[in-house]
Amino acid sequence: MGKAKEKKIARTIRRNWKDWVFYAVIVCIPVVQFCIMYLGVNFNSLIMSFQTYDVNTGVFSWNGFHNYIDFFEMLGTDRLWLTMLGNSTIAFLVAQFITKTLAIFFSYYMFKKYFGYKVLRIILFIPSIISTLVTVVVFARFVDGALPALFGMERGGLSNPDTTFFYILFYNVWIAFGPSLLVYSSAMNDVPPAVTEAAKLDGCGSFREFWNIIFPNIWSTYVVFTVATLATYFGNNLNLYSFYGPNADTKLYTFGYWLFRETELNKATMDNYPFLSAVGVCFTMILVPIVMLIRKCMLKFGPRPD
Amino acid sequence: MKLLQVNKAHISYRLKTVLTPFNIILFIGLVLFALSLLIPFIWGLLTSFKYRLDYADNALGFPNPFYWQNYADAYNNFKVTVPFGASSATYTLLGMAVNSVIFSLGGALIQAFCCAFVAYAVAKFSDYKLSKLLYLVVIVAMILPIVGAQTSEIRILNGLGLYNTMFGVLFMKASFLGTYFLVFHAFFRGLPKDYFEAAQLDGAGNFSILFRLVLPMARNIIFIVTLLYFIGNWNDYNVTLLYAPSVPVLSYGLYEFNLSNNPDITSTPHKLAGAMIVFIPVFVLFCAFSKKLIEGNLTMGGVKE
Repeated sequence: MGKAKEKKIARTIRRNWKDWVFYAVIVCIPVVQFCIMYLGVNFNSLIMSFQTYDVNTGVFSWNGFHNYIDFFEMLGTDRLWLTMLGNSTIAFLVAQFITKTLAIFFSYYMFKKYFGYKVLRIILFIPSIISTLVTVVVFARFVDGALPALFGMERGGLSNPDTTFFYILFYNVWIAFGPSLLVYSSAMNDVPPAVTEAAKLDGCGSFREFWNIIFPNIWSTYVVFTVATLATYFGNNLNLYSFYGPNADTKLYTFGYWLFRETELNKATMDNYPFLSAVGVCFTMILVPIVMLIRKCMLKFGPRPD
Repeated sequence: MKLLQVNKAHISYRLKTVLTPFNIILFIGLVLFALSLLIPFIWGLLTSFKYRLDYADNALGFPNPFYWQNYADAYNNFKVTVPFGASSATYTLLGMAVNSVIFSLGGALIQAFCCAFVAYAVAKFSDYKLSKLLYLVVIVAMILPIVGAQTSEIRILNGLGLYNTMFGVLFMKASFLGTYFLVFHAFFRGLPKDYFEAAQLDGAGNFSILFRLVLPMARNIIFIVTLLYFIGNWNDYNVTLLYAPSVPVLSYGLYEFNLSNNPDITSTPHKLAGAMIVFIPVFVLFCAFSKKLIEGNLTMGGVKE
């Protein structure tokens, strides 16, 4: 081997070695964090679901499938699960079909840069930068204070048990537009202007342009948002904690609220945590195939830009 | 004259294409929606200046007179008592604001730079197997819904001695997962290779290239991402509620304030004054950077975020 070649190899190895050190230094902390707080946490969740916890001694011990058996027994006997199933499903349907539909239509308006779009975009973005605790106070006091005074109602919509859930759903639609507006209207900006211009010259109206050109072009973004909404099916707590803390009426419970509430209330003792882990594992096992299937179907059978 | 006619024709064509029933319905819907957002906030701001008897008599009108004492009452009662070792500690609004700034700013910087560093490593050394794995991890974590991991997070933090510490919650933020990884990755991949080659010819090492060339070029994205993380952290009260009960942040203070039965602050004007105190700093930030935030156009290749 010639000296020049040897030198080149040595230089390459030295450079590779330096690259590896650099690589390791800049990724080490996030990778360690990932190993502990993602892999470790989820693995521990699985382990914990087969354990029981003694609050007095602070010791976890193996418990077989008892937590899972308890979960399935509760599913059959506790009516709260039915309430949570109903509320979580309604919450998902509202987010999927009302919030998303409105967001797409509003984004189309922004994309077309019609009259007042800049001001409207800022106003619609505001709730997403404000704490839900602030929007909840303003919304709740407005619904139960200003609206009854304005319309001469005896009591507000949130304090009337018959309408509370409706107003909670309304609140969740009311604050949900900011980020999705930006993403959808940015995705619409990727549609080649030549396509929309050609359609316009062919006499295509606004709705047809939206339905036949814009919507198929943003379909992949729509799928991403749908998957994200579905992924939060068991985690969506409808901001009930911001409204009521741990004291919401059981009629309003969603799976997400129940899980969060149980975790929060038992955080000092970790009592019930193995059972909650088993519930989390079951929910994940149910959700993963559904999410994957829906994503695949939507991408396969959805409209295509061409 | 001809020009005027052409202009007239153009305007009438524009009106015809813009003033369609679909667009008019959209416009009305948007205006109604925007009003439904603005009116409660304006009402809330005005009501926060009402004396509680004034509010009882007149829930809708202007404050008469403007009663600033609500803000003083809210400020004085904006405190939480948290467990601290074997005893307890009381935090005032200022104490919580300090925690909020450390958590929000520290967390935002950690989140943004962890994302940026890993994205840069993956983009620059894309032929490394680890890079491919890290990219895959981000995608899988985004579409894989994991439910109820908080219990395990608390146990792990307890095991590491990080539970209930500021360091612990900041460590939780040192993650590279999420959509902003893709934003950074798309940006770094799009940088011309000539820049790097020129810098290397000038004798710059990997660290020099990163800190003196790449990060300055990415400063706009880093700023927007940090700002978005900052706002998210500022509004996050779950961190105190679940992971650090002895390190109360301002949003947790508001959570306690809202649920408090203390007779000095149960009235609607008081509750709204408390909310406005937390709302104003973020609103000022938003007003200062709204254009950057909204028109920042964080792009992920074809998909914009």
